[in-house]
Amino acid sequence: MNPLLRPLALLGRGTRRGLARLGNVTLFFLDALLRLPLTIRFPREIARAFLQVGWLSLPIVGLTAVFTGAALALQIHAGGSRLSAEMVVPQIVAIGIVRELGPVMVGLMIAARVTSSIAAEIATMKVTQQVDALVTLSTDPMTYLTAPRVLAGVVTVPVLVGVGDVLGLFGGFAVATGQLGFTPESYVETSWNFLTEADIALSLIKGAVFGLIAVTLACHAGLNAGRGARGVGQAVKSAVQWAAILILAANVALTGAFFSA
Amino acid sequence: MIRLDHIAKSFGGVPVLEDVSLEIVSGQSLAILGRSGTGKSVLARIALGLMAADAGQVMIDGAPMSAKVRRGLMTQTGVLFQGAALFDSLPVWENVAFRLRHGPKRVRRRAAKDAALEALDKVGLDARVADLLPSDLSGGMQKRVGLARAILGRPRLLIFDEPNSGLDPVTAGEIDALIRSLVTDLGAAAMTITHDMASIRAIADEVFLLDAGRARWQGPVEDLDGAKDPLLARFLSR
Ligand SMILES: Nc1ncnc2c1ncn2[C@@H]1O[C@H](COP(=O)(O)OP(=O)(O)O)[C@@H](O)[C@H]1O
Ligand SMILES: [Mg+2]
Repeated sequence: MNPLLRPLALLGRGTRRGLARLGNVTLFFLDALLRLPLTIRFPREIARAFLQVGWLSLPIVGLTAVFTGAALALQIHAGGSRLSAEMVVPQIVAIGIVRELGPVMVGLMIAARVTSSIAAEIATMKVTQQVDALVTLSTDPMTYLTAPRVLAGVVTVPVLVGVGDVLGLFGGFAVATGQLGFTPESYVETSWNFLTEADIALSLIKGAVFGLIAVTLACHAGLNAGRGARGVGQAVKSAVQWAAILILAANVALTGAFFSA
Repeated sequence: MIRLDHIAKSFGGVPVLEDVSLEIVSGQSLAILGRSGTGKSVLARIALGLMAADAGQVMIDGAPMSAKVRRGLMTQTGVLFQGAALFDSLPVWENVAFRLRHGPKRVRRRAAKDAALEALDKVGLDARVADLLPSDLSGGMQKRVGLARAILGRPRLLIFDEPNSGLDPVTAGEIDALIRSLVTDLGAAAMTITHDMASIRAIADEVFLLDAGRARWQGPVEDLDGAKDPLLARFLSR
């Protein structure tokens, strides 16, 4: 092959592999959905999944959101002042956080924190034959391991996004009132009046979709892990990387679909 | 109970099993012997339907292996994996009672724990370990917990992958006696992978020496000493 074409060939192969994986993950996801009703047999696993995905992610999600909102307010103020439009800070922070940055930052944090830990946990179970042991004990790994986590992802990540939105707005509010000379009452009122129900709905829907992506990819990578410690490492790496990419891609798709509707 | 016909399996072009056939009937105990890496564990996984063979067939009570047959088989099979494969997030007793707590037929917590303690007692572990986590136990103790988990629920088919590795000779002897009594008393079919000749003499009716993907020697345990095979002789001389 012409050496100059090699990068193209690699790209082609990568794309084909990526699409094949997307297909596999989609089937895996549908399979997990079918098990959702059965997973009520495992209440403790469900509780554990809610803890792992939702509750324990709160601190990191909150911190990320506050800092993002604060930086956003500073940027908009600086950029807006070039057009003598400093006064739009509350409005732009509000839609910027609620529609985009809140869900995306939370989604990426979930990919970093939850996708990695679920992928590592299930991959370790796979390589130490605990997954096989489940099968020999008449327990379906999809119902016992995957379904509770998928349920937790779709329920708790929108809540995390809601919390992230509020804290992101608070970050903007703190900087705007503390440093940029806005009065608290008018800032809150302007933000609140500017946001629509549709903005909030979009934010939460994004959260649910990102939660599904983050958790499904983690379980898929874990259950398909190769052998040994290396297999675990590979599973975690590929799950986190694909979750981040798919979350960002889904974000574009959801935003696009929302505005064309 | 279980029959393997002309099983072949390779990984990445490297053949591990080439042509393996064997049968275990109820009430019979088969020992699988072979050097490390010859595919004994792979053979056990194929027998359980956890891994598909490239060629050949697994028959369970006369029916070819399928998802449905496997599901039925698992309700009456006890498996000890080579690495014990205990659930590391659950305490010992919940590992042992897993089938009773999470399987299709469930019992109350109290009854499940009692059953677990009874199974632990059979493998020589006392009630003090019941509430520990698997990571708190030595390798040999983990093996015994795995064994207790496997025998709970009176299985018809037993598959043990190196049940005695990591055990002291006294405990190993007790485990051998336990395996033998499960076969005799329950009429179970057993397949035990082991390197230990003393243990083979204690538990096996039939012996199968796996080498280079095939049966190198196969026969009743009484014929071991008269066998002329040089590899088998080397196992026997240890
Ligand atoms: N899932 C797998 N993928 C690739 N190779 C495997 C797999 N399982 C086992 N093998 C290989 O098959 C051979 C036999 O393994 P195993 O059955 O574990 O040996 P043993 O007889 O010691 O139990 C080894 O060379 C091992 O590396
Ligand atoms: Mg082995």
